[in-house]
Amino acid sequence: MNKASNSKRPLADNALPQSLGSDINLRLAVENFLYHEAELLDTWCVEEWLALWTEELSYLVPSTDKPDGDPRKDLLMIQDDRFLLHQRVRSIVNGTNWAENPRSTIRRSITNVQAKVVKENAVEAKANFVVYRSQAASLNIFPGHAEYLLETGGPEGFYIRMKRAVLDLEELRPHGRVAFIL
Amino acid sequence: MSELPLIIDDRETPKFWVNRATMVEPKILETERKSIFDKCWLYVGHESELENVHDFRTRRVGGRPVVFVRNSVNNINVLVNVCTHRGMILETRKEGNARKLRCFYHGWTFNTEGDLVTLPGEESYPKGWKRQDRCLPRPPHVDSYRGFWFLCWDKEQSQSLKEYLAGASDYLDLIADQSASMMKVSSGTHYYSMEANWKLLVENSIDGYHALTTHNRYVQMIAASGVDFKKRGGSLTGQAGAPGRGGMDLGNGHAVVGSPDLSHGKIPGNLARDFQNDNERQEYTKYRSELIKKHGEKWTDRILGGRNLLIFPNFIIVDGVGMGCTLRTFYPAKPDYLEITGWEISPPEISEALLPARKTGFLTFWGPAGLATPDDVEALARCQQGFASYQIDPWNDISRGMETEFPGGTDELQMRTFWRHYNELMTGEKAIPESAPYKMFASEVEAS
Repeated sequence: MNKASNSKRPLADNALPQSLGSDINLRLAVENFLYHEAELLDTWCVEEWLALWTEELSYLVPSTDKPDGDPRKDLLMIQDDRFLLHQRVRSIVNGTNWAENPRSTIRRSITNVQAKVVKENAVEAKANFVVYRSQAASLNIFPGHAEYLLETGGPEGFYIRMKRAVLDLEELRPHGRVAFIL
Repeated sequence: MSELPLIIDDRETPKFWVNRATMVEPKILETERKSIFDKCWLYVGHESELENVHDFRTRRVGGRPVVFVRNSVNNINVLVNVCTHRGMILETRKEGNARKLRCFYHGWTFNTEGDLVTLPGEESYPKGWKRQDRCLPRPPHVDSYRGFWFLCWDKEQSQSLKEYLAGASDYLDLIADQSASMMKVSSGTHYYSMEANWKLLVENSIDGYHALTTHNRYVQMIAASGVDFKKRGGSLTGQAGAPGRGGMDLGNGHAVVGSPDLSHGKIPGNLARDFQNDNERQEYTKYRSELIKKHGEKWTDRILGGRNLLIFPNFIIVDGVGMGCTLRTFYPAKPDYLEITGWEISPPEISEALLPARKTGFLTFWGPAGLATPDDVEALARCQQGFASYQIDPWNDISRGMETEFPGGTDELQMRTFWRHYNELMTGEKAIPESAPYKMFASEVEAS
């Protein structure tokens, strides 16, 4: 039993064995958080989404041929710090992200959520995602998984310190680009 | 095929127009495959991608599958990645290390020299049948320049790679000279695509005119980081041309738009954010002084200037210096769809302090999820959609800077250079250059 799992209790777990109860509660709390994140992104509430992050942050999307890419030496597709993520969000809001102006319709499913406490107030989480992006006559599918480092706290239960979205695509074809937020 | 000419190169008015039919008509693409991609030297890969004996990379070059491989005695080979028996693709992994290329269909196995070394049931072949006749084919010409490897599919090609590169070899020197050893391609590749004609990406990759509008969000980001473009001499908004600066015709359809480092090391690149801290600034100064020791100040300012280089027909190097350098090649699958591969190349000796700026600098601009490339992907797709009306208005206008002696960064000489050579290969009409022959240094231009 640890503090992180106690921070949000969607279920009364006194009916369950204590250890199992805490695992389930943690996972439910993380699921709630990830569903909330997904909804903000799918509805293009990107500024609210940015508020889910800690001050120091890392948003990573590796190259499709190097899913374990190391941002210090390998070529990724995205490695944003707060400044760059803020700029990314701003360009969506002010319409200068031409690939998403007009905005496409995006819809994501989040599944297979796993979570574990790594230290006090810090949770590692992992989830699968599928994002459907449609614009005019085209539909592109972005399957993958995301790894998170979360910190407990805030109105939604957690803050995101690191998110690494790994696409299950060998090539970004015919998608051509990722101009929305994964 | 369209009845109209492919280009109108009118020196009197003057004006330069390009027929949009070249972007749309399947017959034109067929001719391009025969007259351009099967005739020209094409980029294969960089030597640093094959570090060890038997390292390989597979890719398509000019539409054909090849394996780019270092053999057992450390030589680099380019082999056709197709089994000589029944034509199956041999190696399907994008990269790896293998002593043998084995076809799982019937078990024919080749070494990294392309020799057929084993096959099941060899004794059942007739007497005159020889394994030696069934080696992997190679492109008729393979050669390298300063670590950059090229092939040519045309047996009749009479130009060596060096002759073919013409003035572009000076610009490959400027990239290669950034490292005292050998520039290195990073692990991780951008494989992406555009719903556009391949020539739109040629134009776009050497087009300074679109920077402020298409890449408005990138410019906003740079401004938000505290950069004052006015203090940088308005470089982004279109520096005037000068000898050795602006858009230049490098011969054989190759072209560049670029400039020496006019700040002499004060900024890490015209389009880059400023140094983030003193450590970065000091390390960059150290790196620059090492270059000066080896190459002198004039050449170092050349090296550390930015450039967008086209090596005809489909190899691009966009070098933002301190913000990174990208290699890009592409090939049309259809008139309105092309596949692009992008790599990062950097000097391996660069200090750790400079890596974050280089990594994030690269990714804020380039790649399919940067703050600039996706907008090019979108812009070119919308041009392609617009070309549905090409029979109503067939002409793209590429006339900027036609009466200028030294066209600047937002002029279009570099694109006209591409199109004139394109037209010559497609129609046989001799291209007449617009500018005097390219010379690297101002002094050389003045002396000629």
